[in-house]
Amino acid sequence: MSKLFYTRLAFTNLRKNKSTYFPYLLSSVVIISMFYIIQSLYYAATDAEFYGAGTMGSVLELGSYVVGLFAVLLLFYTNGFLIKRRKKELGLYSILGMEKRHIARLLLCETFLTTLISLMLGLALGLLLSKLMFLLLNNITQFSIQITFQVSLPPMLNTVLLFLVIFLLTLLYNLRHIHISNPITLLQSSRQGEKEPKTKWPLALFGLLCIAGGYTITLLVQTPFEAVALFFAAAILVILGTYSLFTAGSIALLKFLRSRKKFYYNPRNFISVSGMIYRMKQHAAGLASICILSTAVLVILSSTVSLYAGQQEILGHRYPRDIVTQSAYSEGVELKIQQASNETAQMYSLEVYNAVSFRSLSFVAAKEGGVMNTEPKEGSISASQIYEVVLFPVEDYNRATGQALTLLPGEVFLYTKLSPWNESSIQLGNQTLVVRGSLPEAAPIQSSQLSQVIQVAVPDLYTLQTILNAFPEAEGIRYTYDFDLEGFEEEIRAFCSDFPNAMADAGCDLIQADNVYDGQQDFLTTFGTLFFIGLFLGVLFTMATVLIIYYKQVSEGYDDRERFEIMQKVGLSHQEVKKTIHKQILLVFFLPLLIAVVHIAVAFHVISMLLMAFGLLNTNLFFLCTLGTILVFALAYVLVYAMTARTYYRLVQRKN
Amino acid sequence: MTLLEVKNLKKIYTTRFGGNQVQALSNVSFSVEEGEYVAIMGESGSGKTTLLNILASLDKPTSGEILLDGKNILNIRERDLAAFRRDQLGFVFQDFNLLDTFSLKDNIFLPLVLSRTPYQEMENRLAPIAQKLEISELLHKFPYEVSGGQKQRAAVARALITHPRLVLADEPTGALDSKASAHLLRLFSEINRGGQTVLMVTHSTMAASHAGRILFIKDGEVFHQLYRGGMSNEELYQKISDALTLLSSGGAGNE
Repeated sequence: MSKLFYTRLAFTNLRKNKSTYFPYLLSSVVIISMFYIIQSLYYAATDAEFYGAGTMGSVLELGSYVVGLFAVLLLFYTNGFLIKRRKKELGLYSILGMEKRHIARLLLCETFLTTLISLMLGLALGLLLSKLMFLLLNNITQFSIQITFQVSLPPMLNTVLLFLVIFLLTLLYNLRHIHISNPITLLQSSRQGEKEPKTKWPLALFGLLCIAGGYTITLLVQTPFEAVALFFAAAILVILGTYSLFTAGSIALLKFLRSRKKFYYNPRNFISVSGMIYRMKQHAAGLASICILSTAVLVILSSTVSLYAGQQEILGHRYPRDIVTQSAYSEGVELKIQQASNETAQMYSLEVYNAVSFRSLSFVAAKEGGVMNTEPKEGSISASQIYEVVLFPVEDYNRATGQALTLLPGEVFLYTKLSPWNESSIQLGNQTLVVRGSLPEAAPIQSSQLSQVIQVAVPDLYTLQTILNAFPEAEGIRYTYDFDLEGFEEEIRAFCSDFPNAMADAGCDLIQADNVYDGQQDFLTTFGTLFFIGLFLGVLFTMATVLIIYYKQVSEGYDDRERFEIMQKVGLSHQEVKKTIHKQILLVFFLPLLIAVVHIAVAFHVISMLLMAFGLLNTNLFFLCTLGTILVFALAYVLVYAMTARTYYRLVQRKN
Repeated sequence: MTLLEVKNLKKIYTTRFGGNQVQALSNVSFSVEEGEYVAIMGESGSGKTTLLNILASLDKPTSGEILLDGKNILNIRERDLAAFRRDQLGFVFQDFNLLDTFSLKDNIFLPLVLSRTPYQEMENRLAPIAQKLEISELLHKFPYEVSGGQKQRAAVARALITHPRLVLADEPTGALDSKASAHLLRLFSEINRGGQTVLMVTHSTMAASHAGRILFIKDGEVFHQLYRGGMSNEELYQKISDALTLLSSGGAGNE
């Protein structure tokens, strides 16, 4: 036999199996290029020296791990499908006299070819697209930072190494498969009469409990703090639940439908229900994966898009004014800080305006009815009871907001961010204060984004001091002086970098001195990179979804062909076959999407809490982003459906 | 009364590039009376299967007529064909053609469900047929759980449950052992005695010897036919053997 024999045979095989190998190659190429792109971005970000490169680098690094892990899963899944389809062919080779080592050699050749082709094309595509991606990332972060396009060796080496290992592993897996089976089982493997799946009630129940548990957690969350702590657990529960419900719950449901005679003995239900029972047995895991992936795409895209779109708003919450300062309050400190700030501004020919001058006292306490307790018993309170209490004199509030509220001694106005205050009084230390009403708007000062917040306007500074005396562990009264600047941008930047030193020189001891410009840059870098990764992973997951769906349709098409042939023989018309097929595909196809949307709807609350932890309070914006993402994704889904349904129908149609 | 009349049936297959023409049926004419049990015999390639496919309306002849109850089935519109097959004809195939996703009972119900028969009616029809075919105990099993003979009896039940005008059987004993074959053939005879018209295509002499009349096909034509008359199965078997010998050796002289 000539040396080239195996290579030629391998090549012919790939060509002959192109309807299954082409998507495999295509997805390998795409995922290789994506891995290369994210790696090269990561290396560029770590090489670059700029403020915020660290954040960007670590987000990109995390992203590249996700892409790498995902590549392993996806390629293994599709490889498993391919080798299952080809068992018969390989069995035939061995009956025709090929020994196992010959088949192994053939598989080696094939793997070598696919590896070579996909790595070359993948890297080429990666190189081509990475320039574009650099531009995109720089654009998204609005050139707040700039990473320069470069072609370097390490990302290429990493990519080649990772995918060589993956392809080697798939080869080993295939060889093992061939090795443990004999020709006859290989030949017949695709024709084994399949047993009807058993109903696994415990698993179905487990799935139901998991979903119920996950949903309950997400719906009961009241504060961003809880959301951060519990989101992961809820996600795991929902994933477990989805898998078990798809595998066991679906079969239980279908068997129940089958037992309902009126429903079952009806032309279309009859064939779909019985077919689906077998279909779910083989494809439940795949469908559950599609469902989870779709959910992940929707969650990632909607939240990163919202963060990116809402960053101005987040900025506004975190920086009520351009310049934000805080210092310890004592008599006379107000004037000193105001004067020093104004003088520094004048040095840069800038003008201070919109200043907020505010005295406040804040501490963390647990709400127990109307009592704010700073020393609650260990374990007796939940996260939603934890409040950041912010107290301030009502005159400061009036000055900052332009209101004209008045309070008698012993009275307070309240403002709560998340849950309303229903008690008629509030007890702080030894003081019980009557709640006169709620503040018309929040005071323009920074507050916690993770926990509940209650702002309390008290009659005067004296009350503030009395309350402080009851809480020796509180940090003391703070003086906040925030202001905007009017002037040229260059001078503002110079002012910002000089401001802390200038204030220290003037004898003002500032606890905090931040400015919105540094913050903005930070935000653009962080949220921009997150948004980019979100898009990137969204595309990747969508591709995986499409691929799994395609293979699902093709494999079912082969399996169903025989079934529909028999049905046509005993009297099912073409029209009816088409209708039945349509119904089954619709069910199989849109079930994952439907459940993904249900997951998203339930998770909406908890994700909006998570976004609150980032400072995005605009639930409407998140809602719109979620809706938009769902629509776009559903549209892509429908397109894929239209394409694959045609392939499937072609496969099962009887050719006359 | 004549149930089925086949007149001058001709079928020519053209290969894909139009080069070669293969004549599967050259000129077939025969008729089947109501309540008859007819076997069609012939060697591989004689055109048996083509004939059956055309009778089953799965294939169209090049020329000729097929009248069922005096109505030309070749004129039935494409979209009514499926319903026609379902309601007027019953099929028994060599390889059973049972769906492995259905229990035997649901397999038998399939044509009725497609015609939207109410569930109670289906049950009522099934009970006597299942009893006659001795599969009452097996109805809830799945095809992969029962033997070949049992599968074929379920397939016969599926063919009979629509009360078809004509049962078409294509080598029904082809995949069965001799015991199961004998059982099935006995059942066919019983069904026929109950008034059911049966047309069976086979090349098994044993199978044909149960029929009331045997048509021999050779090179796409009806070449010879035998009537049972008063003969027993054994006597008929002998006659058929003789005819087959004639068909393959001396037959050449007739052309």
